[in-house]
Amino acid sequence: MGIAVIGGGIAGITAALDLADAGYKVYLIEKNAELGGKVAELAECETGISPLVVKIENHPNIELMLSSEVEGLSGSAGDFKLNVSGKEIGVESVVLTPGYDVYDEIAKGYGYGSPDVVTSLDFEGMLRTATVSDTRELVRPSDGKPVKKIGFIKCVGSRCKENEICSTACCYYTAKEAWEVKERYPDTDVYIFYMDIRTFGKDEELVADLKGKYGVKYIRSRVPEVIPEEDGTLTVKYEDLEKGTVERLDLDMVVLAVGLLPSKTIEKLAEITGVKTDAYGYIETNLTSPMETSVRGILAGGAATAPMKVRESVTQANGAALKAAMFSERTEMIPGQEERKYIDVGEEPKIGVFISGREGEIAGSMDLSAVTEHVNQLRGVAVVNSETNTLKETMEAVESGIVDQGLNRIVIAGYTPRAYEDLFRDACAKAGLNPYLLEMVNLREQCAWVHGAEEATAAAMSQMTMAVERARYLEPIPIESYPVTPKALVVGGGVAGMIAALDIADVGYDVYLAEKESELGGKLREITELRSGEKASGVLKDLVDKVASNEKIKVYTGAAVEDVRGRAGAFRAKVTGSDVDEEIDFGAAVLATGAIEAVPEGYFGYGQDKNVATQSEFAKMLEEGTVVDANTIVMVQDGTPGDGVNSKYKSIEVVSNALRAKKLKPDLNIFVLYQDIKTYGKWEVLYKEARENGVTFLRYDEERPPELKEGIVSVYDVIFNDEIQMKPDLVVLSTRMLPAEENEKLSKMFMIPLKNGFFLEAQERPKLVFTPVDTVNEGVFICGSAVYPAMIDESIAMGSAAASRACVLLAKNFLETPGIVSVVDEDICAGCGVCVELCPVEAIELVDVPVAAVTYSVMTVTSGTKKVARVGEGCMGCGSCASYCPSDAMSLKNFKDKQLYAQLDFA
Amino acid sequence: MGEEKGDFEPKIVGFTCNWCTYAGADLAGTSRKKYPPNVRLIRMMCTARFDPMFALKALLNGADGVFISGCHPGECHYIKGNFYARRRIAAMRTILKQLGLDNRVKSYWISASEGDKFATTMKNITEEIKAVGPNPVRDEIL
Ligand SMILES: Cc1cc2nc3c(=O)[nH]c(=O)nc-3n(C[C@H](O)[C@H](O)[C@H](O)COP(=O)(O)OP(=O)(O)OC[C@H]3O[C@@H](n4cnc5c(N)ncnc54)[C@H](O)[C@@H]3O)c2cc1C
Ligand code: SF4
Ligand code: SF4
Ligand code: FES
Repeated sequence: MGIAVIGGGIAGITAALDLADAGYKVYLIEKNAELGGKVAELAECETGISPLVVKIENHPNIELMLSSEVEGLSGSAGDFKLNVSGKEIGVESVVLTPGYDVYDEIAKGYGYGSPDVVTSLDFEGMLRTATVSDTRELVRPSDGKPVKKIGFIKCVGSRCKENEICSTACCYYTAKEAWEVKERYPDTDVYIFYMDIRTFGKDEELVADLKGKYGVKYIRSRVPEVIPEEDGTLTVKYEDLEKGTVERLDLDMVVLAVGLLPSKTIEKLAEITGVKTDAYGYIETNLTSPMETSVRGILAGGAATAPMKVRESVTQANGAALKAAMFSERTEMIPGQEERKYIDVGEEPKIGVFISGREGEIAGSMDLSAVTEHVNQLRGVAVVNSETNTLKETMEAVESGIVDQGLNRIVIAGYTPRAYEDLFRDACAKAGLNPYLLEMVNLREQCAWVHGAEEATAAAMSQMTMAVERARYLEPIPIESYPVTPKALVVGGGVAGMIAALDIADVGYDVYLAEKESELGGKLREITELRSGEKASGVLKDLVDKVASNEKIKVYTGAAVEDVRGRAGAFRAKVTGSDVDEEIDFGAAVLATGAIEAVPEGYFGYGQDKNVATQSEFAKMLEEGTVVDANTIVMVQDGTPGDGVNSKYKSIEVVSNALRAKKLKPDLNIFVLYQDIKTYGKWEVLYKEARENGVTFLRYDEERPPELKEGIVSVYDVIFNDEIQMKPDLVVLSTRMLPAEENEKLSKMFMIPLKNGFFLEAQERPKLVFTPVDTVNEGVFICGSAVYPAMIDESIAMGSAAASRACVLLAKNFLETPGIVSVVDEDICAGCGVCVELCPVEAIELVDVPVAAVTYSVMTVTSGTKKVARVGEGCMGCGSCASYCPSDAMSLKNFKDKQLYAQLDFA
Repeated sequence: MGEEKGDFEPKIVGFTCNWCTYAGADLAGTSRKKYPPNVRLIRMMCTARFDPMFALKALLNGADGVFISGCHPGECHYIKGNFYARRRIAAMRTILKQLGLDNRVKSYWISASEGDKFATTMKNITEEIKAVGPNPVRDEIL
């Protein structure tokens, strides 16, 4: 049978690929004629999603059902029957990823209807069109005049009567769109009207940059009104919340940051499948089982469960894929596992050059026929094809060029190797050409889009020459297969780590779980009650019991992982501790070391004054009921000094603790002093509830932070425009979060870079995170608060996601050795050991080899031994050794001196 | 005959790491940042692969400027590669100074999300090299 994925947006695509890559049969059902969902409509989608779409289209295990809808479902988990546009299919489980719709019933007051007032999604389209237009200018839809002053209005259709909750993604995407405008049109003035800025982590840095170096004006304001004037100007009338005045601003264009709503199809899908929806119309999931719907065997992910960004959508989708797999069985071949035979390429290069016009994006920006003519005259070029336009066409042309025309070196122009190299390498391999006989030139991002037409043509010619010259020197790299150890190591036994371990074990692989403390549980041990009202201890006990009773999981407590060697599929490490000292072998690793609270020592007298507590200490008081003695509590949410980062749940913690306190003692006075309340998504209702229950929120001026003197807290409130004084019985501080101490060591051992001490995901593209739990080191995955301090549902989703990614790898019997590694010429190696010292992964060792002294015709007499370097399995191909070897004995394949010089000589 | 300082089109070769600066160059493209067409990039997986010989060879081939650009400190995907590259460049400076080529070799840190910085850096280096003037070696070759 198989698994049905309903909805082909980024979430559906992700779930389908994880499943299909692990050997499950997948039916991907999309109601539109094309895959991609909303991401395909975003301004810079192109480099991201099309390789995934091509992968889906070519995937042997995926049956793609476009323009199709589910009309009926019967049966139960393990045996569902689906009626898809009249066709019946049988599946064991279903993943629902129908996504979201944008808010379109826009109130008249925003001037919607005037051509120069557009929604953010339309604006993404405008940005894209602007880039292929002749002038590349951003112009007003009404009169084609350049946009000089643009305003973004946030929260249109969110946090309002019609849609109570916060749409989560809009704060970020508005910042991104503003950034895009400023980057491309620096002279355009940009204004953003907002209530709170709800961005997290790296996105906070983007907002800071916008306010700082980009000069974007963030205006804290309420319900702006847009008045289209006779002369085409748009006047925005708004209440400035910083000044308390009503202001007017004239703009050329207004973008409405419309909210995300549950997809209109969810209602019907819920009816057909029987899954429950929540109060807002999203598919209902649970804080502690974020991918499970109310029906067993039906999972959900992406923006159909709550408004969210791509990062979270993909995480949930990875996780949902794994949960769906539990009901099914692997029946299909895993692509890339078949043995491949490569043609003998001989000495003489026969280079095929494929230049893609990218449907005008390149062809329209330079004289392609001149470039083609130039390339035709280069040494070794047998074929130049500049007829193709789409990725699919180019890939097919390459394959037939190799098979039919006997090409033995391939140069692709028009695609960035960063996103497309794997696909083209695969296309070469399929056609029987060693995949390392490929060179790519990025004629789009690094030429057509950055230079004027004439300059671009000349630059393109030169870039093409460099690539062709390099291609002449490319050599086939022998590829060997090595077996995958079907076991995983999970480092860290908090909630994310335990979930990852359980999920991997449930799929059927052995798991080692190493926890440094003497008990499992991590931060969950300190938490009393979850935001859902569930007792944390119950959730914790359940998880710990499940881990303990799972025969496939071997738990090490009080243990540390050391001495990691090997590579994806075949790692080896030591686990040491008070009562262990063991070598373990594993194919994949999941790092889940969590985060720790920073002690706000000295802030508001914390540490000296017993009436100052942190939010987590306050939660314990709530549990014990000791707060009933207090009359006034002041919570200081922002401004905590010191290292660390803000958690994503900081505001949620504040409002829910405030609410709990109010429940215990309704006449308690609670003041929350803040900068931005970031109750994203459905948590917004808690914020509303807190206000309705009489919690007072005071926003202070960033320049004038609140102070505590002799028991009196004074704060300058920007809304009342006055200083307010309070005499609290208790001050509660929000803390910053620090990365686990061992991250530093793990980062070096597993070769995962850190950002602010937290593990960094592999970044394919800067604005859309398509691989949130993958890292640059294949086979090593990250999850939970070790990535960023996240709410429990996100940590759980990340745990399952990491498990899913690990299982995709572990499902393979064999992996291929990486091609780009270093080799030693033992004849000239002097055994100096320089490379041994330099290698960041300790992949090189010195070994003794016999030295040939004299050779008599057929007999060699050895005279002792000499030391030479030998590169082992761990080599990651950084090239340090190759560029430092004093004897030139070391070389990095695919980046050999002669290959680089060939490029250099024609630069 | 040498061209005058300032009004010639310099040729600049850049050695960039795949993960950061090369990606930053891609982002400059996606953001349509314009920059002068004087720069040719050579992509390597990490700046650790940079060998000072490459810079010398480029200059001897007549390039007017050379730069190396990788990940920010602490963000190299091989952890220490960019640091090694820095050390080598520092060591190379002495030789470059003797040859009077020191001001033609630059190094930067540009990350994958710094498209703007990439474009600005390309503009700046082009201006700087223009101010330095054509590489004297170039005359000998031409
Ligand atoms: C203007 C704007 C800009 C944004 N920019 C960013 C950004 O820069 N970065 C970021 O991280 N996020 C951004 N987002 C958010 C991002 O778009 C979402 O997180 C993401 O698209 C969610 O993916 P999804 O697959 O869950 O849903 P969708 O993209 O909505 O995909 C759902 C798919 O399911 C199909 N479908 C629906 N119902 C059915 C059915 N019954 N049967 C079959 N198929 C069905 C739909 O046709 C669609 O293809 C932005 C959002 C907006 C509005
Ligand atoms: S290229 Fe050399 S230094 Fe780099 S990982 Fe491989 S063996 Fe080590
Ligand atoms: S390969 Fe080079 S650096 Fe390494 S030991 Fe041999 S001579 Fe020394
Ligand atoms: S990977 Fe960028 S400098 Fe090493």
